[in-house]
Amino acid sequence: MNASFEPIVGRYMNLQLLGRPHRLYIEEAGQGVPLLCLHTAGSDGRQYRALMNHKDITARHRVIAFDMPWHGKSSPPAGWHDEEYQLTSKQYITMILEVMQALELDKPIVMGCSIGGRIVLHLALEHPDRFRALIGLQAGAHVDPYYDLNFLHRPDVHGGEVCAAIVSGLVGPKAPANERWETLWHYMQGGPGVFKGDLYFYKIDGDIRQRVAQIDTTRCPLFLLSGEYDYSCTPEESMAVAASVKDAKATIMKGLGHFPMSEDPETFISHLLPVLDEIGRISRKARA
Amino acid sequence: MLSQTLHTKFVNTTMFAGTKSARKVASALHTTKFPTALLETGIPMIEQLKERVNTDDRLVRRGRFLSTHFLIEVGSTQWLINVVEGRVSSVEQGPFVMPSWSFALRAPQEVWAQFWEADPRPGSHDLMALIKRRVLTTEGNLQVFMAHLRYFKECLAKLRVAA
Repeated sequence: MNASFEPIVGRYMNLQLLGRPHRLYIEEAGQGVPLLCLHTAGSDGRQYRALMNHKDITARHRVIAFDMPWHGKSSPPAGWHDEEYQLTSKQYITMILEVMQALELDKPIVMGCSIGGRIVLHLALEHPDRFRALIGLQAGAHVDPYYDLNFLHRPDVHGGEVCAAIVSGLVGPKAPANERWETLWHYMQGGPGVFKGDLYFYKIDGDIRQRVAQIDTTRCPLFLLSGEYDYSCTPEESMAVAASVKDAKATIMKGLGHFPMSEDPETFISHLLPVLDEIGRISRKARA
Repeated sequence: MLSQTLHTKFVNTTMFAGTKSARKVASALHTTKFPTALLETGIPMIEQLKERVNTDDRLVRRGRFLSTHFLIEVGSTQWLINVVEGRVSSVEQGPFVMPSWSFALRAPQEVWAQFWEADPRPGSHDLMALIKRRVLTTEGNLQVFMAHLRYFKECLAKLRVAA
């Protein structure tokens, strides 16, 4: 059997983040317009593995995904063992801007899923001029808690097992088995309390319903792609954002769930490529 | 054993003749020849759970540290299911006088019927989706349910028509 390397390169970056030293793991592939990808709550940058291996995307884009602190191969900051991890909107926005600055990314496209899809709405509202375009996957303005989040982090429930079991139904039923279980494995590998800490942002702190209509897409185009089997951020919730933001473009992706780029990359990429094409057209028109 | 089971069902049918659950049992007795027995209501025979779970070695292994009673309510009909080390040891139909269970899952009949379709629609395809939509209620000691969530999801999905 021939071994082969993927074109993805991973490195560790040391930087000041949120006023503390951090060691972050960052992967990238390709060249061209930067496409910075944000993973879902409780997972990591491996969710974007297929995009970084897709020649049609990497021929035109430098695809970058970083593992947030506490996630994947990024470490929590020193002192973590005496803290409770809780992600807030303010921290999340600051983190993205500081990573962009550290990587010297000039007007990247930022694409985020779930919590990443939500923060994209915050970025569109608060920092539209920093981005070429924003893409929200499974992006809604708010999600009410629908189970007791304490079950995600308590000693008598295995964290990895319960996190994966909670989200397993969010994968579309017809997703290829290997991609489904790869996606769930990432959840099984999350650190104790990390998924729960992310959901603090998703379900409590990051509610943007009152402000979402103020997003100005003339300053930064906004695209929404949502899978129809997602019951966490339902297609209706994404469409509600699209309805209240002038010229936001939304597509419901049939058959897909909450992790489109990871659970069924091939189908997802067929929806993403036209969006990247359109962003290219908009950028060329703006320069002309 | 078989005759005892049939006898019990006959008694139930007689005792509660004319009730919804009695009609279901009577209907079930006529549909057992089909590999996937569905009642007229779209509800599968819950008793099938025993065979379907116990013949799946991987599911039984996943539940090897699980022993509990749990209650499923399908509309007004209750079912008490006993799991011993991952194997379904009994499935009893109510009504019960003093049932003991660790947790209960309750939903209207049509909600379960949609969940048990071969290819459920979005929102009916997963227990957590039903919970999110507030059409399935959970109560009792949910630590048991959550600690073994994958087991219970796969266990109840065994009743799907094509399962």
